[in-house]
Amino acid sequence: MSFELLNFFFSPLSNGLIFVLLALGVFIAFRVLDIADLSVEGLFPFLTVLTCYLIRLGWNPLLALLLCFVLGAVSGALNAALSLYLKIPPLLSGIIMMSVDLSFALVFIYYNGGSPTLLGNYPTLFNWLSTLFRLAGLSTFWAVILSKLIVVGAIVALIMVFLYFFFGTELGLAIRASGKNKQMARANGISVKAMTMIGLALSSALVALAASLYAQANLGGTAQDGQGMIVIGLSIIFLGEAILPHHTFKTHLLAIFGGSFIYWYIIQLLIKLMDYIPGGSNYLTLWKAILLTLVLAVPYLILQIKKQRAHKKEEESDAPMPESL
Amino acid sequence: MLQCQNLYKTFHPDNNPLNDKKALQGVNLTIHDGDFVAVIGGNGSGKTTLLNCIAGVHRPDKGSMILDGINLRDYKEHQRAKWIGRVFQDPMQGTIADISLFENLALAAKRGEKPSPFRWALSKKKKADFLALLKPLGLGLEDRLDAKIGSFSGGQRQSVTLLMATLAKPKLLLLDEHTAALDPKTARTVMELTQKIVTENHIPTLMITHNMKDAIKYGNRLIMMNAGKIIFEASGEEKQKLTVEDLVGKFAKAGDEDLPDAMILG
Amino acid sequence: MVGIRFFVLKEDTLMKHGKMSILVGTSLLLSSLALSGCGSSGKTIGTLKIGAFDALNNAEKGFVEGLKENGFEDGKNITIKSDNANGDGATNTAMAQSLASSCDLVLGISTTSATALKGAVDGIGGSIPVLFTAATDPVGSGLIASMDKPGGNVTGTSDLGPIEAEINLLKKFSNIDTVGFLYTSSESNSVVQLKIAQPLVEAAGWTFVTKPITAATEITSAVSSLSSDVDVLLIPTDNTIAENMANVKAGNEARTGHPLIVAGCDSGMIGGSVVAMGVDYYKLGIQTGVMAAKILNGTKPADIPAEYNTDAVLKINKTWATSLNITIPEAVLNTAGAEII
Repeated sequence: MSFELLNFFFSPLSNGLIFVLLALGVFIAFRVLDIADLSVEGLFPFLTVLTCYLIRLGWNPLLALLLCFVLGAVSGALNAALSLYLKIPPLLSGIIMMSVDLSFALVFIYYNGGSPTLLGNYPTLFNWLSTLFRLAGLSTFWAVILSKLIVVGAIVALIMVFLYFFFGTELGLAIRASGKNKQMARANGISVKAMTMIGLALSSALVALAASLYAQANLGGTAQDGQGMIVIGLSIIFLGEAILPHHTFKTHLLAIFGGSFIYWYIIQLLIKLMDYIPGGSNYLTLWKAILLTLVLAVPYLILQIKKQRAHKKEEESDAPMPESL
Repeated sequence: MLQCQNLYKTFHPDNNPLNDKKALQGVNLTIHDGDFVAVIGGNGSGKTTLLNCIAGVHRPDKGSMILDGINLRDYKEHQRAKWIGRVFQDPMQGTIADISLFENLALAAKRGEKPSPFRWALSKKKKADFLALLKPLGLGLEDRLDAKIGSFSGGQRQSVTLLMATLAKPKLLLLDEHTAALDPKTARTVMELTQKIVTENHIPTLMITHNMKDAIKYGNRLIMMNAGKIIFEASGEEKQKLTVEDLVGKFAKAGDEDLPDAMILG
Repeated sequence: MVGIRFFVLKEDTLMKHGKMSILVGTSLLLSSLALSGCGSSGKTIGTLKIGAFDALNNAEKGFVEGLKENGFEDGKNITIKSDNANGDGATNTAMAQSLASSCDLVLGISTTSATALKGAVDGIGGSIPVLFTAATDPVGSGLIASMDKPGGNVTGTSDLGPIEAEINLLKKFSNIDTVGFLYTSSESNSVVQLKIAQPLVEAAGWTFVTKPITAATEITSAVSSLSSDVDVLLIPTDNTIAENMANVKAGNEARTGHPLIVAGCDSGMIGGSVVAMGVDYYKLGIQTGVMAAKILNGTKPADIPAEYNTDAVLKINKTWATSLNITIPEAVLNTAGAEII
């Protein structure tokens, strides 16, 4: 099998898994808490840069990951605190945290003398496993891709199981209630402020995990890493909802999981398509928008047409049969 | 027992003192255990503000509110929810549409306790408890525990909110025109349910209603508010003997001739 | 009512499965196309740029020209696949992986793209040559071991501006005390150049002042608001600023009485500079294309030293300098090869 074909099917899996975490973080903020949290775009580059910077300093990659998780939670909690206690509109507090987080990214870039990369012999969460696989006789391609899928897969599985159970607890239900109807939540004794803080901290912590894994998978962190992250997260959520059933909260989580893979396979398709159109990738952003619109709109339109046809059939069957035939 | 003394509340929508709204101007009200008080008044009479001050949505400028020895001023809205159940006018407000009846009830059952990350929100035992609670109501709700509230009608939602408000045995029940958005037949059903729940559980209740007939028929006390003050009170037999014309007349005397038709026609 | 509801629900599921099958079908079709359609004429070369910036576009054009000058033309004896990540990091990685798995030689235009390509090639255990251009610090970012002996399968051209030469040029001006450094704080390459410039400026006995900006809209006010103590404004090869030299010009013209001697490290910056020495991205691209041709002809990348811009151009904007009442010393104007406008 050629590398091209293998890459076509396997590389979206790796991005797909990492972005499940990003999408879940965005989901908790935007959907569960109903907060448009813009801090994601600053938090993401801060933590990709930090991860690479720390690993270059000699930190254990797992510790770097955990530190990022904690910093993400702090960023989310601060975001909530700004809007809840200083009465700053949530949209604005998200923008403030984005700027704060991004400036930390720039600080680390400055001290590194440029964007830090992990090219060379730096340890990542994956290469201990890929080394093992290679020793066991697997080719580099399989060793690398499997180690990524297994490690990230394990983390994603852990997180999803955790969320699955967490949102079924009293606290989880209370957080969901706060996001859906603040008045009702308060009337039922729930401190909406506390729930929002916990929820946003969780949301940003998940984004942080995604960022650290992304940096280790892509061997680098730059200040531009956050660009478009919210859009990707939202696209994954919408795609998942459009294509997969999500009637309960638990199936909603699964829909997001699926949505991430659908999104990355669509991007992979587009990239391959671009190769056949000279200068095509210059319009990649436009193509992304068109394809996403098609995936969402065409089935809806087909459904509408079918409904209309069904309607017509009903009307025709009501009409009296002609006497002579 | 709820004791409200000397409640004053003025709203300042902007810096212009001419636009200040004097919602409460010295309200004194005592609700004893077993009381079911109907509150009527025109728009702007202060009745909703009174309810909101007790609930904790607004802070009165002056005055005290003591519920069973507890000084309500010391507690925030969500903290008071431990003792106070509420039903709102908008059927959408009291419940969460996107989640199931079961989950809504679970939230209400835990009202006042800190939500724990170590206990399941839903459990088989709770389901059994809720089924036992819903069956005797005869509304068919026990068959729809797992259905999302969004699929329920307005009357069903208000019934659910009523149930939720009384689930955790509140010390006080506040009803803010809770049948106003329902059609007459459904409103009747909800009012009967209200009567049933309040009497069976002996919950002191304060009910704002725009329906003067209901105000006369239900409850053992009636108070009438106008311009931030209580202008008339009736209880017991005297209350039962009142007619709508009597009440309209009292309003006119107070200068509140501009009553909305809905109030008069009931 | 119930009947129609059921019907609609069934449609829903059909639609959802329909969407899945559209996706699966298209991907199978395309992948079979991919298998068949590649390698039609000679070797395949993949280029990846992080975004469509002027500098990177010019480097790309130069690369194609460099190959052509050495006998390799797209469509004739090689196929060139050019990808643009549109500024998106995740897309950059996905494209890098796609190119690494389907080409015989790849070019990363910018450090980010080159890093992604090297990572992708290593990831499949491959050893195809990875070239870089417009990467300011290839050694520091781990692409190569050293400029002279890159080692491995990576080599290319760095766009590090001739900062030292430019500072030496500035020494010929009189009355310089303070040098300001204008840069976009989120551009990694500019930070690299800041770290190089600072010790050189201070060694010349001058004070070094940094002026970071975060967006193009801040350039004009940043330039005009620099203290009147500052004499020179040094600008690295910064994408954002390079594309907005008109703002630099406007900002400097607003400094009545205290104009700055703007010294850009990208010769394309002459529109808003008094002197602009350095990287011509098009020529840098050609240098890289020449390297690619060598590799296609059999030389190993490890045997090709990485290069800086060899044709460092010096442009002097005498017209603008005169309008600002800045006198350019004869020694500067007489520099060999200087292009005076």
